[in-house]
Amino acid sequence: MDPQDFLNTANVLVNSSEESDLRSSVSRSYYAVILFYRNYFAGKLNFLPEKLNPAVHKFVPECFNACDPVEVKKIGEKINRLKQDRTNADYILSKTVSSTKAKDCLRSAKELIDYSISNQTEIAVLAQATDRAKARKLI
Amino acid sequence: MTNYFKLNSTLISDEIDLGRLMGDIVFQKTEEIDDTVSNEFARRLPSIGRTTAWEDVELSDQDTSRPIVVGVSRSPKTFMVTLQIGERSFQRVCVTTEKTTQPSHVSYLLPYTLLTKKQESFSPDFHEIINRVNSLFQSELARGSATSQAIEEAPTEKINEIITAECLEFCKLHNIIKTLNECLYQVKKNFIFVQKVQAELSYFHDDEELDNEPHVEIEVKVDTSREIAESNYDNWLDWFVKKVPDTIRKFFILTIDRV
Repeated sequence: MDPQDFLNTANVLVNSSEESDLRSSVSRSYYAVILFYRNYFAGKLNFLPEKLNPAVHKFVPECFNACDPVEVKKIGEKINRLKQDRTNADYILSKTVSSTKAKDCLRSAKELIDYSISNQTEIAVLAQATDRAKARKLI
Repeated sequence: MTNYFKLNSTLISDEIDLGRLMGDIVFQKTEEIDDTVSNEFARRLPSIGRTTAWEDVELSDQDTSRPIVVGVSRSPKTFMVTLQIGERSFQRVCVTTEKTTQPSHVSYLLPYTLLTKKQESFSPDFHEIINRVNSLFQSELARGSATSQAIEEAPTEKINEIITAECLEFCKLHNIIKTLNECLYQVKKNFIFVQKVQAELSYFHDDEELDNEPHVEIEVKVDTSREIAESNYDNWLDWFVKKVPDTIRKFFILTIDRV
């Protein structure tokens, strides 16, 4: 299956009135993004996507965050924001997760996946990913 | 002479080379507006500010329809005009600096057309906007003094800000108090309709996470549409990634809770 399939799951759950479903929707939205980019980096750098687990949560946003173009750094920060929302949804039960929050996360996830990386940006991002993959002995 | 104004309420200059602005949507002064009004608008523009919602508008070459006014609404010190181009709608938010908001202020903000990358201008029906804003004000005046009392309260100036003790301790330990304060200041500066701001310590609880470092989560509770909240967030983020070094940025994450 494709990571984007999680967006379909998130889309189903987001219409539920149960908070547990809304929390799961946020979580699926996040995983759609993080696994999409995990597979992207694995495909570009030729390593098995699963080999990046469990570091994937840190690896993916860092590859964007460490790049110079401001717009690319912002992608990293937006992934981190979704990661925080997912952390709150999955672990911080004292914080209510509303339908609005779940819908916003779903839209953010779609936008992050739809973000088109220009050739120049891709070179910069992949350079960062290569360094990090080497440090983790993935390549 | 033609005046151009960039997004984000930043006055660029008179007679600017439009070529430099390719990719941006700019406001172009319409010819029938006299220079007195134009200069007054230019003088006020930075402080009137917060027209950031325009940034949500990404006009493409396919957007050839004339913008249609689909709604006008107002909160204290702020009014919002919703326009529609083709099938898409977008909003413009304007915040006045005056204690009392009068319809006349609207005229400073409206006589500008949108330009696309193709440099074709799309002019909303300003008369329609002004009429609807005027109707809105008149209906509010008819409702009595509750409005004028509300107008004097700027929503962005009274933010309920909470920093937890644990978070404060963490920031002291890492010598990042100054950055925390700056982050909060930028929240006040960039977000509108903020109901609450909370800074607290958080951890990534992912069971796969190798290093579970704490960080500060700044949660902003706002009462706006997603488009506006995201636009405000984008401005905040712009400042964040440009001004805060990577080594410090890792300590902060801003989340938005829309009510």
